[in-house]
Amino acid sequence: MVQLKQINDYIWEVPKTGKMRVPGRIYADRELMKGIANDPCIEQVQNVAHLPGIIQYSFAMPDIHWGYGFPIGGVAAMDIDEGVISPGGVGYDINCGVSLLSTGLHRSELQPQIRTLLAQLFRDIPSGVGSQGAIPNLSIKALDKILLDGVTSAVNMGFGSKEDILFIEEHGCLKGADPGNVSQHAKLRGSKQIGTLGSGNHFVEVDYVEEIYDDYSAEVLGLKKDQIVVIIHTGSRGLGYQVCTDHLKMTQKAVEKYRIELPDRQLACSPIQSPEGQAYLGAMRAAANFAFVNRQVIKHLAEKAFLKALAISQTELKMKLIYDICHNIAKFEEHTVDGKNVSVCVHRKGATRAFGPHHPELPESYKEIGQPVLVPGDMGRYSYLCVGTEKAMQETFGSSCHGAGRMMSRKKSSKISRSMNMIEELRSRGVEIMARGKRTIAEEMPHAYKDVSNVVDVMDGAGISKKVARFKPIGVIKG
Amino acid sequence: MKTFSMIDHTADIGIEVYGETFPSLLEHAGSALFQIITDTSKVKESISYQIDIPSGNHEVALRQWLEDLMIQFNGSNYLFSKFQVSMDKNGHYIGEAWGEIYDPERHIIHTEIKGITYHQFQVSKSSNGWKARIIFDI
Repeated sequence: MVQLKQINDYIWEVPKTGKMRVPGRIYADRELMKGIANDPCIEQVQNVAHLPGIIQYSFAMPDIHWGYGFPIGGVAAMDIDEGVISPGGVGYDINCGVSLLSTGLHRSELQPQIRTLLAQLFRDIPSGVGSQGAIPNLSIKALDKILLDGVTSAVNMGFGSKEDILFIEEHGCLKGADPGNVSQHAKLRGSKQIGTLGSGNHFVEVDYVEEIYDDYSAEVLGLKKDQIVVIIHTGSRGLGYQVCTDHLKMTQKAVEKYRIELPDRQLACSPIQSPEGQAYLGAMRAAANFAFVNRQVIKHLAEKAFLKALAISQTELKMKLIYDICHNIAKFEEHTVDGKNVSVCVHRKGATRAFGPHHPELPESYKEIGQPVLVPGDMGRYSYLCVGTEKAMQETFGSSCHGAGRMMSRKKSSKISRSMNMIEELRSRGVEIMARGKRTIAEEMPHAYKDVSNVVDVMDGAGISKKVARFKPIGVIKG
Repeated sequence: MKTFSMIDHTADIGIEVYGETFPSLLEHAGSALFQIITDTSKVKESISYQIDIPSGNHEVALRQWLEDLMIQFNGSNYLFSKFQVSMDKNGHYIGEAWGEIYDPERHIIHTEIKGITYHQFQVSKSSNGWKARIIFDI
């Protein structure tokens, strides 16, 4: 068992041993650490520390759990000249992320109509299996434009407004995307899946603002108690999965070519400056742009479903994008390390960018409060909205947690769920659900997850991201 | 004989697959893959699809077989319920899968599989036969 060194109330260090290039750092309190300490995820924090060019620490956020290669909740910044890029450090679902939308609706107005609304959302937002996406017969040429330009291309096709672009991480487009490095098979999968949700833990959720912790930030973000908000969680669908599969295969060969020693094959990586590294970066950015567009189109479908189900006008609905973030990504960013400004490649695998106030990447209206950090919880309890801090910039390469974090396997969760009426159980918590399969509900029941409030409290206590508001779900659709 | 069992993995789905021979291991792995995706008892064997499986490295062969089957599901919406793998006279494995196109009226998709990870991926042979460990990202 790994001996962890407690640095303060919220940080635990995994000492540098063997061929680790840097130590590990896990953000957790004593209670969360009880669940983490015996999990294979600690070994994964150590494994990431073996990667060439890793700077400072192999980080893990408090929602850390056992993944493959990187732990879920892992953050690693690499030197751009000496370091590596790892497709496993991003994952199959490239730019899986979250959108948060505000509305002008009050909880009391929507509550009586929640089932009607859910049915409409369920009808209008396809899961993506055996169904056409929102743009039927999309040509490969048009898809290439999406992969290159991201959300701008979606706005040009009538999905959302130009203003939305200001409120998306990277303005909805990672520069340097190269559709030429995305395989035809990946494109074929992607061409049918724009505006589709996917399965597993992906969802569209209708919530109300239950609690506000920071009045000023909430006001800037346009949030009030009991206001209805919408959370969308999905990513790059089959296109991203295929990009990861294709490039992992190439990267396995690169590991031999560049003689990189690794403790886990899923950590396969190539030097950032190598042809293999550049090819993956170009393809990954294209997949990330696809994911931005996917969420943008789903936002549009969700807005239309609200208007239709509730028979109200856009002026009454007032649906507005608060922010859209990525939580599976690798990006070139500028950070300060040992007092010097450096360009690094930050891998965030199940972690959210959390830039502090006045960062040039933030929308003008959010400059005073910091970047919104969206932290969905399980579907029965609550989700949080936080903001990034200057301390995150100093300590974690501007990164925070991304969700509750699973604490139970799907198999165990399903076994427990068998003894309950899941729909009634969720209803007793005030949540209506519509899903295509019962197994998804069984695997995703609240008992499978950590309490997200414990995760968010660690980040808040450590000063990495500060709580702004808590949302309570009233309805959820799953693929 | 048990053809596969589920492994506890916190975030994803892991399986251990067994086979008396390598071809039967491949057949059982194909079957396990589609049992994770859907209720295969509802999938009719109305069409068949043939896959050339690379010979030589058993791990590469297993990955390629599963990836090709997934491509048929993800690209063309094929669900499969019966699998047969044989060796031709040149020593190459030929796989065949029987199934039908996904019909939302009759088939429920339990989950999508995003990828076959390399994490703890293993194919081994012992006196009891063949065994493979696979963790899928879902």
